[in-house]
Amino acid sequence: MRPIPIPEDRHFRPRLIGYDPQKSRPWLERTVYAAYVFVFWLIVIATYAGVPALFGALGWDGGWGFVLMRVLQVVLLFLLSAVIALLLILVLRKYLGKVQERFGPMHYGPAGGIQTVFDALKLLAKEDFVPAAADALTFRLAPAVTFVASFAMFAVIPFASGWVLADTNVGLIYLIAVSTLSAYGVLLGGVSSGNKWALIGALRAGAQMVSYEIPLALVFLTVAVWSGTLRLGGIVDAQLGLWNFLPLALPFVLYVIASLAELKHIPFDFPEAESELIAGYNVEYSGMSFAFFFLAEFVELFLLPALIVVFFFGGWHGPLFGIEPGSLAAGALESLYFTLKTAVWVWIFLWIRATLPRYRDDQLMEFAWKAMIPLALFGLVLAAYMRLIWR
Amino acid sequence: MSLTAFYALAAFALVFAIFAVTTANMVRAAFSLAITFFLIAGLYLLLGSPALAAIQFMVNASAIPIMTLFIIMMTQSRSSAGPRTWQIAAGLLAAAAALVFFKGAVGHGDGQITPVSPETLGVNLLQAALLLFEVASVLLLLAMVGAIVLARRRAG
Amino acid sequence: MSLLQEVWQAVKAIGTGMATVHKRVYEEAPTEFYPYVKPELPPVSVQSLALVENEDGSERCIVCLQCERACPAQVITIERHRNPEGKGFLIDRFDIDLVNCMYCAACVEACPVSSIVTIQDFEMSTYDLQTLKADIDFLHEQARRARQWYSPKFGVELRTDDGRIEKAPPEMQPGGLAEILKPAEEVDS
Repeated sequence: MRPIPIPEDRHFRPRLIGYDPQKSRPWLERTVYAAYVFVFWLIVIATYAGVPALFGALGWDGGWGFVLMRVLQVVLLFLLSAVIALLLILVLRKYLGKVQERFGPMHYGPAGGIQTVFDALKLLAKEDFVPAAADALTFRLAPAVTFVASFAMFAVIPFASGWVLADTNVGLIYLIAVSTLSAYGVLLGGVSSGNKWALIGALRAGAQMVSYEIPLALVFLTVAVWSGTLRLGGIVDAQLGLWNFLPLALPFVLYVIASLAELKHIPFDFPEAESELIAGYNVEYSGMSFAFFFLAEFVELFLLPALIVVFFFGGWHGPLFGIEPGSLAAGALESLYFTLKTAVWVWIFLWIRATLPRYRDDQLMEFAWKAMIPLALFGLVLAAYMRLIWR
Repeated sequence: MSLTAFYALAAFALVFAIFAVTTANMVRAAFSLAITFFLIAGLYLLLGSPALAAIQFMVNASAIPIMTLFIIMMTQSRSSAGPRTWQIAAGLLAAAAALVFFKGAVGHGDGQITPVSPETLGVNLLQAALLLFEVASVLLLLAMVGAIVLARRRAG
Repeated sequence: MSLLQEVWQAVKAIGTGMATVHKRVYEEAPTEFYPYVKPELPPVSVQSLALVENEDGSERCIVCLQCERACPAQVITIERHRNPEGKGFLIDRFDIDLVNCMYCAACVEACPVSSIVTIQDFEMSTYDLQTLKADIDFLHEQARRARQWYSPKFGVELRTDDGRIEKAPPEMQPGGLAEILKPAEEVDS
């Protein structure tokens, strides 16, 4: 009779890197997040102080040298957005896991800290598939449009005083334009997929984002009226005495709600409602195209809280401890303040996402047109009136 | 350098504009139209008016998604038939007429760019050109009300 | 007024929900780290079957065919011949098809000498179903690997580090046996 071999190790077990199942070790997790934020901070310093200093030392700060400098800065900002996406996806998964009494990713890296890097590598290795029913050109173009529309917002975000790519005096108008445009990529992606769910998701995205764009733009205008400038640096400077969220409490609340809708975040995640539309507009996407949709979403999850900080929470302002303003150390400290304030707001957005259930689609539109827009107009008039009296 | 930028922007604007009118796929046509408008915004930027550029950018960024929505919702197929010969002829005629009509604008100026601040633009819009501004607003309001009336009659 | 009340109620509800969620973040998750930390199973849990040998290596099984008769799924196949030297029978073949077995432990109940027992090895996932058509070598090996097993007749038995078989102390026995066997004075006090 044939003896049946007993397998030595009958289980498939994942390889473990720095993993202790007995402990959840929250300090290790926080260290990982802090490391990501530190990398983020270093890239910000390199982008806004390092590169201009380097080009200044080389004497390449005019003509084509200036163009090259800007290109290098944009490349660094792309790196920055990758770091943002890696960190935010990790934090989202860990945080939602905690809320739902799970641990989230634990296996790769300290406390699961490099799980998202592996995810990104997996997406890179996957086939970028174009379905037969899709309009191939538009299908390929849509993730790029979505990502560029989100990424373009970086141009006017001031990380510290003077640390901004284009401190233009039409920054707010530019922001309104760019944030509307991100709806367009989603729309193109959904329509060109040749899939019913994607089409419905795209139509929902178009309707929702175009509707919530109006209160968002009205809040931008309110901030502009209150600060007397369309320049983002000017808006931050105008908050030196009092942060805007106190006098502009109503527009502030409206901005938070509208930016949740703009982010396609729970409770307004109709374009990608998993239970109804599988994943909405990005059903048919795979590989790097899908990764770019994801990247765009998480870059926006950084940028809209960053705009909250710029508009309502004093941007980079914070105690400087006697460091001379304008120096490199002051810029670094200011950008750290900005980063930390933004991190708090990203956390609040994730907290909202973890708490609330999804709205209903018609209620969503009703809320935009019957509540948000009138309130935003009221806030605009109120801000203009207050500015007339107080200043 | 700005001359290089001008030629690059103008060339791409022309290419995308031609693609917008020649392609049969309407979603693609809307997309290339959007790119044309954004490149024209870049031209405004080169002409020293960032405010006008930003407004061009904003208006089209808001309008193009809605236009694409209309294309998806209102048209049966997403591609249109190619233009007929008389349509091409009429188009060329109109382009020539426009060229003659705006001849003064083409050869205008001394090559010097005077930057325009948003404040100047706003003041000009609301003081010097106030009447035209208001007339345009009333026209848009009329169009909106008319659209609502037409839609209700159709539905009711 | 009622609109304001509704808004206030909504805000209060969202606040309550967010506070609840925030409290939940600091609670320990009940996740079990199974492949790394083995769970502690109750002694009577029926996870797999094994065939125990005596301490001297001789067969405990007397080949009475009680288990084969008791098996409702008819997965036990036994062939035997009469022992030419003494009384009783010798095993030719003792197979249990662990794929179709439903782990009701009726064979364990039926066994008069507690040779076939339940063990706590539940890690039987495999890429090849043939490895679960257990023959007598496999069943012996399972019993040798097991640290403890259970049968209704003998209760829980342990294998010590030097390979001897011992009856487990009363507190390890199932069914409140420890309470029953407790000295009376302990119960009184």
